[in-house]
Amino acid sequence: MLTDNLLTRTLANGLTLLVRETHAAPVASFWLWYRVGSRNEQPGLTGVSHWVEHMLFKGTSRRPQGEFDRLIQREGGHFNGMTWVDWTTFYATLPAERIGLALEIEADRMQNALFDPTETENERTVIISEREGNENRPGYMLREQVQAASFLAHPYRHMVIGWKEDLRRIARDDLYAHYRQFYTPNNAVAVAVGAFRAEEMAGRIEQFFGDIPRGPAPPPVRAQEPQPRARRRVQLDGPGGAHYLLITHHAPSARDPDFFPMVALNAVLDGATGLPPFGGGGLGRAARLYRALVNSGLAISVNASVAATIDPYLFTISATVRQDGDRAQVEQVILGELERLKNEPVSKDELNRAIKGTRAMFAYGSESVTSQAMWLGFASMVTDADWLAGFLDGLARVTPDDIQRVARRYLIPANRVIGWYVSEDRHG
Amino acid sequence: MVDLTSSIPGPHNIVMGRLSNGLRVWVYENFETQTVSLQGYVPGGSINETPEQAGLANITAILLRRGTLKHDYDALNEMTEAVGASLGFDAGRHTFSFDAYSLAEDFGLILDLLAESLILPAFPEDELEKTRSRILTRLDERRHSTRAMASLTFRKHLYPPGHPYRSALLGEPETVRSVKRGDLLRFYEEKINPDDGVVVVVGAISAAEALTRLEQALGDWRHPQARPDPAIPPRPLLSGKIQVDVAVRGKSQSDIIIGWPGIARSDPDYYPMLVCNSILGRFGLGGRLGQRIREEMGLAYYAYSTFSVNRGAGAWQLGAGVNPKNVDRASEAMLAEILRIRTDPVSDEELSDVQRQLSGSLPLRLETNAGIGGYLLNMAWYDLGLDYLVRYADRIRAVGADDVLRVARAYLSADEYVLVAAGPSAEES
Repeated sequence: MLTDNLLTRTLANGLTLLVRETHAAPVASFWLWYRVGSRNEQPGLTGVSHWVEHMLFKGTSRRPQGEFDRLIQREGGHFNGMTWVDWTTFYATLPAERIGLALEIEADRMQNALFDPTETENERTVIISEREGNENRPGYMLREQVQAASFLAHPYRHMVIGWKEDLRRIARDDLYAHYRQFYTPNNAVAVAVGAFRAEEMAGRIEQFFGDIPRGPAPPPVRAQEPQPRARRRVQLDGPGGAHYLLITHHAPSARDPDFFPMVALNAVLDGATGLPPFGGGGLGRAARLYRALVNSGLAISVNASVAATIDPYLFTISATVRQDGDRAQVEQVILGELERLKNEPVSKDELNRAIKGTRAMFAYGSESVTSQAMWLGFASMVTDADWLAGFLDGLARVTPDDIQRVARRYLIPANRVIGWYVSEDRHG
Repeated sequence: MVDLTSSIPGPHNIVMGRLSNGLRVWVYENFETQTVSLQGYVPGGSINETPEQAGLANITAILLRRGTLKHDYDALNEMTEAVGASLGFDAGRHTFSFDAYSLAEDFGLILDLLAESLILPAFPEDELEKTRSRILTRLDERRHSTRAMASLTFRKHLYPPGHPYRSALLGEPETVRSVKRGDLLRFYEEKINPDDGVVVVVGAISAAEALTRLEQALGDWRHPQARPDPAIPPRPLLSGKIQVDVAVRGKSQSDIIIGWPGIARSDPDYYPMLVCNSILGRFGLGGRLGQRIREEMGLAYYAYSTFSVNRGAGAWQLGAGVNPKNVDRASEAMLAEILRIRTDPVSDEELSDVQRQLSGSLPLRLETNAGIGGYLLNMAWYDLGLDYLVRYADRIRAVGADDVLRVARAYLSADEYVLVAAGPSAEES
């Protein structure tokens, strides 16, 4: 189990350590997680968290741009950075005896990133290019509009990459201020998993990070999404080889007692996942939506997803419908499946499949130190490692009544946005 | 210090066997995990299609998972998903492949379902129609994807008409529309041949048990009439510059591909090419191309180099996604890097960085059962030898700056290439 023999410690400066020793392979993974993401952004500065993440690869007062990438890779390691709604994370996985390099780099860029003005300008066009790549996909364009329609007040309403208008205007000093505010040890969690001695690793992390001064507590996110009152529809028209549907409902946060029933509900509709939405998947062909839509030939594909988040986020269902397909019927069948969840208890078999499938996903996810560290860190950003330890038990305790209750509570019209990207393709 | 050699799969810990139908089996035990990965290749890919049948190998592979004489598609899904396992089939250029993954406790079940799908497929008519409809939509979507259109168009201009690597594995709307159930049955019986195949099993299962179970499940699988095409397609020749623009309406970004004919997996130039490609477009955030086009010019989120190998020669290609107004600037910068890597030897530092990266990253790529299985499968299929992984680092270290220069000059050119840009047309952007 991912949380077995986990060493947990908090340094005097507030940095939390999660260290897990495992000798399955001679490798180790180190992740540094910050509690900052698009959730922490203000209007006019959307995308600033993701841009800051990019700038942390652009050099520090000690090492020039490109040096981190080079140092990690020449030791056989791989690395990346990721920004999501609730968090930003940086990792490197290396042959175990070289993992110290990752600690050194993360400690350096927690304090010393330069945000050189020329590099900042170059990165502006890189990020706009990243966004334009996203814009090429109808699914992205639809998601952006539906997400904005799903939230009136909460910053979850904008995509992590930010609005293009903001990306054109955000200045170097905005980025730097964001970095200073959120990149502090007391706002971070360090996770190490791999072939080392746990105590020794904790000591090394303390050695690299222990002297970094604590920062002021980051400003809390005060926006609360008001009770939704209106059902909404969104439609985009554009070129495309198919029609795309996205339906969202407001969903419980990771800490909410309704979360595990919601995970089970999602599995009944679309198969088990590990730690949603980053725990793998690929199951779902025996689940209700696939049968009702894909097996029946109504849609080309269908997916449902919940996400473990700090604040209440979205339960989404998406489908791809062929150009001559019956869009109204697809929508009706999906909404019919949601009604069925409210009206009939799910079978024991379906529930067992969800639990066994999730257990398998946890086993697959435990095979690499990289995914173990990813799951531990992700859990500690939205809740904590205990929550992860109790995940499978929490899911196993869900009853058919619980699923019916959350279906009745969340899957209601006032809580829902239905979005379509309608292909106006004229066949060449 | 960890002894890397003993932890890497090699002659000392890979168990080999052969089933009575000729199928070769490699097993690697890994009791650190709770799962088992099974992967296999048998001869029989798209190379066996006529041009009018493009997409047939792919549809045959999909339909194998769509029902057997004992269980329909729904029942198969019920059984695999009840235990959180996966089972899939795929068609490549030369291969027909299968892939199963489960908790160790469910290996017997998933192996039985794999064998049933391979030996007793039903090819149900209604599932063929649903699959056809889905592929036709994927082909409609392809016309609206700058990446897919750039790649499709690139292959069309790199390979001459009739070349088996020219077609899309997915097929074309007209060929997909014409596929009949009888075509699937014939392709399955005549073009998929278990005799020359390989299966690898990696995970929490003993080699003896794996071999016994595989013999029971697959030992009788035979296709006596099967005659898959063993031909190795010729390496295409390129003369001059071929420059093609593909209009994809309503897009924010254009995708560029610049490329050349590459090599077969068996070519001794494989290792120098691996090193050269990494320096050119992989190391760090995209090698020299990433440094120049992304970091210095700020033109693209992605700029890279990649090469594919197969039984026959694949392609070596550069790619980047840029704003439509920057297509020319980016292409020129990419070609300037080609000129540079053909003119000057790479520095000692670049060479040693990449050699260390390629050899040092091996343990990371061998962490999961599926990862190990993927390597073993290719080792068996391409006859790379049981000691391939053990000797890998030495082969990489043997590459010198002169070898890198030689392969750059032999395969890359700033005068002869295929350049495709797919994105909004000039009038539109």
